[in-house]
Amino acid sequence: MVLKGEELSFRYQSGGRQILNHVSLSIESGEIVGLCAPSGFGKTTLCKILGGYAEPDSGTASLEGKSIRSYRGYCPVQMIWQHPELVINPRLKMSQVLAEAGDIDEHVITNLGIETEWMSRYPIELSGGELQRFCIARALGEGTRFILADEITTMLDLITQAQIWNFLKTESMERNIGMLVVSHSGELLDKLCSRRIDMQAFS
Amino acid sequence: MNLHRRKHAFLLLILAATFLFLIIIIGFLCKDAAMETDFVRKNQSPSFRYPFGTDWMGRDMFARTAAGLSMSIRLGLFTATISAVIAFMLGSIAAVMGKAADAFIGWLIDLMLGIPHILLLILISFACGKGVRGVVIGVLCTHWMSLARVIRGEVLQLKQSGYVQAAAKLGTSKGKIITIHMLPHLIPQFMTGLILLFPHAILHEAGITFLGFGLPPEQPAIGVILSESIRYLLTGSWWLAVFPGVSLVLVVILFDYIGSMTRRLLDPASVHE
Repeated sequence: MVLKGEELSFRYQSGGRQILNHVSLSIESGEIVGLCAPSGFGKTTLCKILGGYAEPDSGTASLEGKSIRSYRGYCPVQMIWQHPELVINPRLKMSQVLAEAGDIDEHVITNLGIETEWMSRYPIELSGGELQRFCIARALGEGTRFILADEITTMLDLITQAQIWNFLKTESMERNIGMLVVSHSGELLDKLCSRRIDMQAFS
Repeated sequence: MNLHRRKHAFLLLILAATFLFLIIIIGFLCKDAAMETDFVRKNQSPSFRYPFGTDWMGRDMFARTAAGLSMSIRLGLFTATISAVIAFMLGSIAAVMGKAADAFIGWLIDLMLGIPHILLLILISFACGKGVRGVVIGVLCTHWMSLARVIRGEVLQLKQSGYVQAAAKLGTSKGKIITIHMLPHLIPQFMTGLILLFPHAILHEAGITFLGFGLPPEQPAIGVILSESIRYLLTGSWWLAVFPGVSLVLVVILFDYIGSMTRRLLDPASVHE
């Protein structure tokens, strides 16, 4: 499978700044690709388009030749956001949050360090890092083929970061999941990725 | 709120609601006594027999106040509920049905809010032939705007929120998104808005009745009592205005209290207060 973005252009308001200008990239199954650029270069915007959250002004984002936004039901491309507290409903208990993604394998939950007692809590009773693990677990549902990780470990301590990335790397290899990793940390991308895309090159 | 304070708040809430319910019942029972005139006992100041005194026609003011309050509360409940439902529907339609509907409903809200409240109420009530019908229609037409605006904003925000969008990508159906992601946020807003509408409705009902555009003079209503008592205040019959007035304020404060308590109990963010 190939996740493809072709000639993507995007601006938030008509007449506003051109965030993406004819950006093209493709990611193969099982491949881990790094994405780096200074703040404000449209890293998150690119993820939103590839994940089907936003419609590009021109160009196409597609999986196996089919536009991402046309997928119904569980989307094979899952985005993990930088701020977990914004993508979790504050009125649901954590067990309900996980249940929304269908069956999540038990080993995903244990390897991410999610403790059983967190399940009966509300999001407000967990820290940002703890919430992020739920977001990662939720994005690893059965139907996931690609993961877009938008600075997902920025709020975690180094040891936990290492734990989570090790797990994500083995998981993506085992399940042949393609990953786009967005990070400011060059070292992390060096360690993790087979190749790297620098968005500064596009502008 | 911790568990102890939560329980405490819940008990107080039940107590307040029971008290209001009791007033409705007492008012029903006092209906005949409120109409009874007896010139032998006219203009009596408060005593054990007549705790709120009697008026110039010898009517028991306690019975009249209770009957009036009961009437007010029932009117308030009825009009507030219907107003809140109107607000909920118009607010949701504005948020969901696209730009044209939003523009129209937004314009309607601005228009209605632009006219002074009491003026519009008097006009509508007068046009509908005053009486209970006039008051009900008047209050219904003038109290839905601010709640409709709140609901519209809330639905718009929910539609755009990260967790609703993420839910769609996780394959959650539209119906399920509405029931598990949207309604739990909207219902507390709706309930709070509804309960906080009562005091408004009650005060406006008393207000236009006081001004003579509401309930008819023979009805034991707080507005009628207050406007009649003005003439007798100068002759020293202070109890005619003070007790009904204070009771009205008390009922309004109770409703307001119930409203804010409900909001705090329904909001998970207040768990740690």
